[in-house]
Amino acid sequence: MLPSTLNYAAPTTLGAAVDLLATHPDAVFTAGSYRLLIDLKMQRIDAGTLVDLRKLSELYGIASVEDGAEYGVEIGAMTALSTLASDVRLLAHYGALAEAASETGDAQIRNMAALGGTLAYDASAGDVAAALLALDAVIHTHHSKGQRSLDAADFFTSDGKTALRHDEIITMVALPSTGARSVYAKFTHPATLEAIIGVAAAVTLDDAGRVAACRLGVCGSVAQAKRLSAAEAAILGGALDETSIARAAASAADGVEWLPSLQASAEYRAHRLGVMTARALRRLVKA
Amino acid sequence: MANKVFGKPIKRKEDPAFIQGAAPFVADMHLPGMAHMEILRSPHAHARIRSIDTSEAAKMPGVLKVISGHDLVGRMKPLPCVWIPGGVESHFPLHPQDIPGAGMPLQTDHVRFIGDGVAAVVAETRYQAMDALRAIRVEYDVLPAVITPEAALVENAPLLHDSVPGNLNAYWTCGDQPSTDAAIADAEVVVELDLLNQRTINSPIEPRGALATFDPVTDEFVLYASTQSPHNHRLILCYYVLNIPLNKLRIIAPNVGGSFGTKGYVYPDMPLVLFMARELKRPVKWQDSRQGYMRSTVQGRDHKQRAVLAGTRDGKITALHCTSHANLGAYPSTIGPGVATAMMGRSITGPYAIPAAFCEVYAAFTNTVPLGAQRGSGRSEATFMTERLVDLFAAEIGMDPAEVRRRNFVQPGDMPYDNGLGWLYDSGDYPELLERALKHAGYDDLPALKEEAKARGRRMGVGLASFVAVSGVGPSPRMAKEGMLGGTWEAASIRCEPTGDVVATIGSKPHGQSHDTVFAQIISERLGVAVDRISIRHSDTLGTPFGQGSYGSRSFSMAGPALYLTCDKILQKACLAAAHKLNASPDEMIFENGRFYVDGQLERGITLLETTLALWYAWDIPDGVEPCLEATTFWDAPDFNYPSGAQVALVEVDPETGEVELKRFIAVSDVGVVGNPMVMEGQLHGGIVHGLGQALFEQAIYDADGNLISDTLERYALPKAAGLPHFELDFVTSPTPHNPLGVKGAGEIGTVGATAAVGNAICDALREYGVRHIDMPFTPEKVWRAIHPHGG
Repeated sequence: MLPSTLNYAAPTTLGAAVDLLATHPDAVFTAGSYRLLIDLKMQRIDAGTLVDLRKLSELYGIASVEDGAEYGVEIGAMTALSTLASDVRLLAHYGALAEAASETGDAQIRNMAALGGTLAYDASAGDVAAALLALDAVIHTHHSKGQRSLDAADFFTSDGKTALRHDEIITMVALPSTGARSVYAKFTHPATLEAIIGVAAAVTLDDAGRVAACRLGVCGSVAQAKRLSAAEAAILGGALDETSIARAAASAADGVEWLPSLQASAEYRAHRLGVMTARALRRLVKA
Repeated sequence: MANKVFGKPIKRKEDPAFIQGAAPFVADMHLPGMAHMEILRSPHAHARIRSIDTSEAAKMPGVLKVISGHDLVGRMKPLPCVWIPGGVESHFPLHPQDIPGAGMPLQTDHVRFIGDGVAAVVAETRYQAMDALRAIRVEYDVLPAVITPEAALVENAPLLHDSVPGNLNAYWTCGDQPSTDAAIADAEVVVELDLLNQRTINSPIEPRGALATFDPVTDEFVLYASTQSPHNHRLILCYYVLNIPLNKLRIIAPNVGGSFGTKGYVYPDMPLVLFMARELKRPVKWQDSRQGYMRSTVQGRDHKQRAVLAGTRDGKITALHCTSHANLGAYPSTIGPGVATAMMGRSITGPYAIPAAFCEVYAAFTNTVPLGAQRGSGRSEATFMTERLVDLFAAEIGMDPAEVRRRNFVQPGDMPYDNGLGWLYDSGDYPELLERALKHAGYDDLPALKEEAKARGRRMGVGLASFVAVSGVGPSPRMAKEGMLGGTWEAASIRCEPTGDVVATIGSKPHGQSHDTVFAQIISERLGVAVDRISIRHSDTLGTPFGQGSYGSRSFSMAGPALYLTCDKILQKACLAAAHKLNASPDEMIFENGRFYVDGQLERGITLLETTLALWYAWDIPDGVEPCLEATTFWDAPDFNYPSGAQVALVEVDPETGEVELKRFIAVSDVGVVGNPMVMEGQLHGGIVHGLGQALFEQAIYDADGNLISDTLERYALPKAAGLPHFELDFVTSPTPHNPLGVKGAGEIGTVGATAAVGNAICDALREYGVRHIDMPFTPEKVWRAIHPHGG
């Protein structure tokens, strides 16, 4: 049940937002609120003050190099997932993120959910987690002591949470320009529409058709969203063909720690992750 | 009928208010001085209560009253059960009025499921009441729990009710056991199947709520509640639970946001808010949450069936035998035991002429949430079982499943047809339904599509389901034999007002069925009054005649005829007055387009409104005719009605993942005469989705201790519109002779066949893997394991 009273603030500067967290021990940040409100209602989190980030105008929008971005693209943390799903730059060069955004929740959730919010609250369970791992994203933040940037691989922690401090706001997600082609595949929970398994693959082929670079990321009902390093090793340096894809599929679940799920056993999920990894890689062979 | 209005797809009068969020539900209601009640429920599925201490809770902020079950002793009686297994010995919790009991609203010494109430708090705000619940100290001695009926019936199983030996509510049978056993023993072919028709949780969009007021000057109560049956619930609450005169309680069901069977029961919260309102002399409201709803509102299905079908090598079914264990949950719900026995058992032969059939049901109490009706209840469980067996039989003898069905259908010329289990089918063309469905599916072209799917690494399957679904409760004498402890007739009144408006009052009430529109269409057709001048009043026990409410697809075929016959009475009286005004004989009068005229003299006429006014003023009306134009009908059907259908599901299965994609769903239905095609298609759509939900997603999961694991919509999956195909609907019309409109129930038949169609389609798709049967829900992992029994 919702708490009987809640304080609410909608600061207009990052500094004010961070200050509110410092002065209100019971405060939490909220972006699109779709996850937070469910968690409050189910008494999974305890909060007395909501600090709404929706009025932080500098946290919106997608910038590319032509716009002066330092990275390939820089995505403001408050940008809605529906915006990511339809952005032509992402669709062309960062397909895994556009697909992960378009696979998140339903249309109403995608309109409300912000990239930073899903990273902070869904953490390893969020669809975008696998995509950001595969795309080698760098997550920029602002907190009371300053600013920092975190590699995606360091952002998701082994306890299912994130490396964010209590008073830390995600400001921007940067995607380097790597030339890799990338895709996202999902095994969807029928009730929550969350990923039981999400797998993202980004592959760069050299002129000879060999895998020059590859990154595979997994998210969903896992203890930690992480790179699938065994599967990556199975394809790196060689041709991307059925033989190497089969090797990658067979080792996809190595090192993946599954959370309990009413929907699917760990054995089935390990099998399915292999199938999904193979299918994702096949999409990158073609075209 | 000339059918100018009746039978037309006019838009629902109800929709604008719902679409705009203007229609109030119990949750939206706030009365001056209203306080809030919350119920403390057992955290254990089975335990003895050692002590309850409410003293700290009583001191909490805003708390007005705290009670435990001990405070109700002598002041409230147990809830009753009013539909028991008919014709057999049965055992129930006790009730002082020699009627089967269903447990006290709050327990004093023994809790039997995780939703069982032990205390209640009323506070100024809902949050204060919730906070106070946490301050109530209850000491329990936890007892072993039984979750399945089989476990409940073993010797020395934990006993739920002292008055129910061995936890067995009833052993109920129908059909001819000796001839069925003999036919099976002599059969050329026998197929057997064990299956679990899994427990489901009904999920209407509105959880339940109850709000009571008490007037200390008049001793009158008003209860606003999300109920399907306000009149019945008034009778039960007044007479069996609270000992108050029937005329001192008024029940109003404001808009009810779906029910599907679950709001046809008297729940503990109802007498509790009434009790608290009288104690405090303030309005008291209880509103459930979604999670609360899932843990304490009746759940559905839950039959463990063992079935045997016998037949000949040339495809003739000769016998059908079913043994089922029905899980009633911890207490009998208001009508649960009847649902779990007759509705399933008598329905197992479906649309087939099977010479020997027998069904036995062991209905048992367990430490789970009480069982009740869920859309299609009984008939859906019977249809899934029989239609799966028919496919297994077809596979066994190497015959096309459609051909096996053709060879066994009851033929239209056989009507009325006695199915040997207690149903007398009224009308229908079961072969035509199937042929129509097969044609829409392009049945003969499907082998090529299967090959094409296989080339893509998928497996396509086609599943058929033919069914009959008894509807329209019902003939009261017949229902008495069926164990219903009350009449099941329906009533309607119509008043023609001097302004030209017509108001009808009915005992039935809607929770999504379009009473306001479709019943106005009946009246409009008969009286020639525009639909927008007709009001249908319902859902308030004050000012409406007694009626049963809406359940079992009954309102259209029970309240509809009552209105139709009332229109006749209106016209008979109006005719006398009109003839008098026109100086003509009533025999000469013709009524057309809302106007009486003398036969052969079209210009010599008088409108119904003018006639109404003449009767209103009563200055010049015939001798022996009373002023005003209104009439009432109490109507009991001569028998049930039997809608039927054939459904085809086309699925594609991904053998690597077990993922099932529903590609097409075809439903050809016979609901008799149709009052409003658009409303009826909406009922079909909703019904089909309900069946698909059970087939693909839904399952109430209890752990061994009786905890309900799937108690949120995050853990209990419901179908979502975006994941479903367009439904392809067609209709065959066989009017029922059992009511003057020829209409049959349409609320449930979408559900009844859908689980079987999908199950048959999946098993068809997986035939090359030797998959014989999979229990619902057909989740990807379950399907994958059926294909790969030894894992990946």
